[in-house]
Amino acid sequence: MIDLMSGLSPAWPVLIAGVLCAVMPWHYARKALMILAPLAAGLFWFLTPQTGVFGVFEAAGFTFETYRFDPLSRIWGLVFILAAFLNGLYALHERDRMSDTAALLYTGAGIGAVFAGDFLTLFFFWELTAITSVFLVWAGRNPAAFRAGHRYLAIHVLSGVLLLAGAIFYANHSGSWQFNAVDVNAPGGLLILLAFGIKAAFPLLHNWLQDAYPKSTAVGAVVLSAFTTKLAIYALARGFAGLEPLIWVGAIMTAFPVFYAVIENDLRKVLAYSLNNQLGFMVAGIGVGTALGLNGAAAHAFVHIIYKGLLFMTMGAVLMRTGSTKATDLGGLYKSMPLTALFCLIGAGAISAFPLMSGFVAKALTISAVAQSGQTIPFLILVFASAGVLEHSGIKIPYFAFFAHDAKKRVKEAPWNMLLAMGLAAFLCIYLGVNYGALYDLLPFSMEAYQPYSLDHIVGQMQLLLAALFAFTFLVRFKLYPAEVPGVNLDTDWLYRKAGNNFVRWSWKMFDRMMGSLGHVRTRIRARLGDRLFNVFSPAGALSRDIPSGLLAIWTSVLLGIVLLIAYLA
Amino acid sequence: MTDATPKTPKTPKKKAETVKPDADDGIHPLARPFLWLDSKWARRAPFWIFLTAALGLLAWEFFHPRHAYSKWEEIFGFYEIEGFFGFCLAVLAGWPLRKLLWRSEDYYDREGSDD
Repeated sequence: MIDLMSGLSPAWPVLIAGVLCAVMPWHYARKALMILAPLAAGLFWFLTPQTGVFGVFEAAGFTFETYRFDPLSRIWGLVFILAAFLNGLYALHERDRMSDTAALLYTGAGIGAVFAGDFLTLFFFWELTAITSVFLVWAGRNPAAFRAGHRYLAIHVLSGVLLLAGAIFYANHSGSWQFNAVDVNAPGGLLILLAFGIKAAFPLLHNWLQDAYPKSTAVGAVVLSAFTTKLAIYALARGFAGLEPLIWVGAIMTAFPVFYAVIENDLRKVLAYSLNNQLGFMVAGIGVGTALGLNGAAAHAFVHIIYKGLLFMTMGAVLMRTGSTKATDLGGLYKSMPLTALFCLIGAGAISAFPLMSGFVAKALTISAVAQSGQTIPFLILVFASAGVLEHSGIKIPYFAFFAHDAKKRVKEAPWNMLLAMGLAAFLCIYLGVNYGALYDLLPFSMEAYQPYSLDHIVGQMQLLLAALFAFTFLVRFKLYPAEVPGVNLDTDWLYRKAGNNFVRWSWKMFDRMMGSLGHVRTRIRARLGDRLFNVFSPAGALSRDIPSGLLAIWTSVLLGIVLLIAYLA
Repeated sequence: MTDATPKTPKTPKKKAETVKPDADDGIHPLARPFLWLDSKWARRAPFWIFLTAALGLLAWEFFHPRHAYSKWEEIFGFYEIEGFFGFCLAVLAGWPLRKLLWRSEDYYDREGSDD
């Protein structure tokens, strides 16, 4: 039995549980599946004896590798399983069959994709993550969520199509469907990079994230935050490690969301921008491509899934209790939700990389890797972005939701299951920061030589954080911090939601008018032609009239004369 | 002479409130020890605490220079300079950016938008 299980991808129990959920009308049975499926997946993961490729089968002339267990996929698979368990716990109170089913299938697809050994298996699970996760956006069950879900689906299906097209070109060139390091200059290489870039929310390709995630439900946003983008980071680490432009792409990704997050009023959207910023650190680490850089990306992805999930969980609890996550509606919630506030502060501390928190031991690797690579400007940008993280996730989220001015919302504390999930995630944020060896042991490359708690590093990080914290109090004291204002901020989604939409509408109207005009012209031509023909051929027409023979003789003579003249001249 | 005025019947004393005073104000029992966070001094204190701590770490760096991996780290107080000015840049850029990018909440819901 154990032998049988050891060759199966941990994705299968989660996917099967998802299918069962779809047909299961009983709430408690579905919830049991949401807890048991990740536990079963974890068992599969632990029972896998050594690295290797398992679950291989052939179909239609292709070899599908469904379970490649190696140092890179191992850590991603584990954190996906861990996130699935926390998400299941967090969602225990929610009575929504569609959401339960989508969450499990989406999680299973994510796990399946990181363990895929070939492009076709990757493509299958890649698209499955898109098709299943959109139901979590639609779970918001309002027109805005419905429309955002359509946009989300279109963009992610496009990513899948690009991946497939790129994979076909690439396989034709290389002669293999294996998913390993991809040569970006080979045919299809750029298409594959673009497909990964869309899902990883590269700059200018990012806005599906901020558009869709905040419109989902309290549970939906937590589930969504874990898998899609981190799957793309895994794919980049597998396919494009050491691609130098990625250092710059990552640096830009860390910086620009900082500016958006400052002026954003919806705190879940702030978290979505923050997610983008965190992905930037991982992309930069992948761009460096050294053992330290790749370890940085992997460690960052691991701890990020936990603390970002925790922050989304706290905002989900706030949304559930108050009906809003807008900074202008909130404030002073620590009085009625003190445990949620505490967990939010721990998540904020972890993402800001305070010493003894998980972010500290992970981010250190990436920044050290970039510093050692000699990339001075990206290093400067990453340090700036670290201060930015403190601004939007470390301060803004807890401050405006739980402290700041008291909005007098006296609500109940979050339900026990949400508190339990948040408590476990908060515990992990501290545990991994203190016992960092447990995290480092999971990384793709050996980390024996690296010591995150060096005096230089602790002092440097505390200098950055304390100076930034002082800057915050300074700006608030002198009323230089822009007040929160309800509204939306234009981002790249404006191009298709407004400009593109208006262009299509204008084009449709113009086409409609053109067709109308053409119809009018056709009617007029037909009428005129009819009149002419009538005038010529009708019984009263020109051809029916008596023509004097003298006139005909004159015209015949003129024509004859012209013909003779032409013949003479020629 | 007996007092004719009838004694007013004793109204049964109301049972002592079982609910603690202020329990209906919606404040969680775990939050009560932290209500001082709303006081004026608690709101002003972080300014001085962070300033002192930041200056303290700057002094530490003066006596214990760091081992720089990047040329930027060789600058004295690099992390404090970037932390303070980077944070200020991110926040102060919010003023012009909001003017440039802010739209009303129904911006995308208007006719001709993404519906």
